[in-house]
Amino acid sequence: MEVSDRIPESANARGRASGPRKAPASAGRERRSLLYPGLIVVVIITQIPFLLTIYLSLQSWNIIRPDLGRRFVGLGNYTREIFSAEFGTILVQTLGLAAMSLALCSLIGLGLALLLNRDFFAKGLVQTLLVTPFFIMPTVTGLIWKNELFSPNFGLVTWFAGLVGLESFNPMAQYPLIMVSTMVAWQWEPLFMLVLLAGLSAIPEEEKEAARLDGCGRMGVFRHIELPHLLPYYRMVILLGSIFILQVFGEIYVGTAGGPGTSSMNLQYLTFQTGLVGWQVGAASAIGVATLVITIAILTTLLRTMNAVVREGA
Amino acid sequence: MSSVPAQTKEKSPTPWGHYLQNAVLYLAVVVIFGPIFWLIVTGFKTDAAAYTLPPQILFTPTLEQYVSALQSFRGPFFNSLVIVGASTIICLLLGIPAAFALSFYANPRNESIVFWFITTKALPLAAVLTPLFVIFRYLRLLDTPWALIIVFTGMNTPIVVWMMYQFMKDLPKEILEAAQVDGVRLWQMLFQIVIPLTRAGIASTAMLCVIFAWNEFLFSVSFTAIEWQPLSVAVAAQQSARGQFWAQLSAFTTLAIIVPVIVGWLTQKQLVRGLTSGAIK
Repeated sequence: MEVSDRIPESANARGRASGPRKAPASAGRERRSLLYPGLIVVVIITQIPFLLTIYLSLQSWNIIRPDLGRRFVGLGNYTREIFSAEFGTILVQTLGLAAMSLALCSLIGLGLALLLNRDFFAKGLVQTLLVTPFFIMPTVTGLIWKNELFSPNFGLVTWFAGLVGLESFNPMAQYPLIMVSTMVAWQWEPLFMLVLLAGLSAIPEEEKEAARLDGCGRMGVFRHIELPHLLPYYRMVILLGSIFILQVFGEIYVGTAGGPGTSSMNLQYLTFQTGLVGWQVGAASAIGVATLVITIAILTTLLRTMNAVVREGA
Repeated sequence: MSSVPAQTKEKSPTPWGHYLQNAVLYLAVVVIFGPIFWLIVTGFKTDAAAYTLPPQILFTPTLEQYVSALQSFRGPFFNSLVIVGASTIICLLLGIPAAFALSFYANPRNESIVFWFITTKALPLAAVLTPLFVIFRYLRLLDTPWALIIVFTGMNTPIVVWMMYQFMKDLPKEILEAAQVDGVRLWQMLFQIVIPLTRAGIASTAMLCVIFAWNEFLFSVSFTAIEWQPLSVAVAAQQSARGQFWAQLSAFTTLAIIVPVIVGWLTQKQLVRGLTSGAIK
């Protein structure tokens, strides 16, 4: 709080240029006194540590081996950790996991939104129940998959698979990455459904009516009216979903622990594993920096692509 | 004229198509909500019954599992309440005034500041995990509530700014300008006009912060140990320690998800409005 009081004074000189609405000088100061506490706290908590990440990534430092000391190794961590076969594999897994989950969410979310955008019995209850997985802890999702559904001993799905003749059905070990994608899709599908439903219900009824009068069937209405309308909603929800789905962690931690081996790890898990399990602070920081750069590159590309698609669709 | 009723008739799908679509939806409810329902039900079974296959649908419910789960539940639940409660209150105290400043005072940089806030959400947590651990270790904040209160404040304040900015932009400008002309002080304006008018938005924003903080796991498992572990970490710990007591684990897990699920149910409509209103177009 003391910080926030001082900053407006020191920054007062710039206040005149920012063009406030009424009484210029005091309004600028008032605006800053409201804005700066939040702004400064967020900068300190989210941006400053990243500078330290860059610094630590140039060090060799194992926290539980103080005898080895902490020394400067330049880009050594990067050459060893980032340009390795393991990192490449895990990067591909991170992308594959996100792509599979987003595809499932986009399709299931759309299907459910189309089905919900009607009047029918118990609509509110159905929607509420379908939204519920979004509010469940990721660790609980992992637990439901690992124990309740796919446990080799007492899992419901395993039991059902045995009934239809599938022996030694253990997908959590056999297809761990696909199973993690299904967990993520289960968890995030409600967001896609709700946002797409908001998009569908914003379409004026007359437009659909006009399309029908022009002889469009159900598919035609979807193709020519609903889908173009939904594109901006898709852009928003895919971007939002990617931000979170690229850094899935709890589902993996409980569901598969990244394994077998490293076959269901993503970059977030690798950072945790290296830093908080292996205590290699320098190596984990280098992986963290690489993860950040890669994530920003992916999100920027995604946004550019989707902007192009939305422009074309409009 | 006779074609008009025929056209409107075509508009509503045939009853059969309608019922078929309903059936698909009800099936989706079974598949999507079923696992949660079954988790709750399993908590009412004895351990032997929980493992019986084919799964028992009719059984004599027992409260035994919930009662014994409560023993280990109280500690982490209290931790979650303290951490989530404190971080949410701080987020609102920081975020609401910031959103008010950004929505009320005309300034060419406002839009980009709001956008900057939201870009902080795009930064992967992995990028700050190790330095935060090193800082908290140095400050001796590991396994205290403060470490998580601090990181959740950093994580959720941008969400408050973003959502409250959307809600406040929709307020009628005339009221605020009239108050300003009348010489109403700034903080009075915030507390007496803006906050009462955006109460619903504040409630849903706070609930979203509660859900995110309650369910967060990476930072929680990294910065807490036995003393201050919140529920998300406790679930993972119980899973590995008591995996063989499936009925009791189900009861514990059910208790752990009650708060975010109920909060989520209450806020689902507002949540979508807050998220989409600014992002479309």
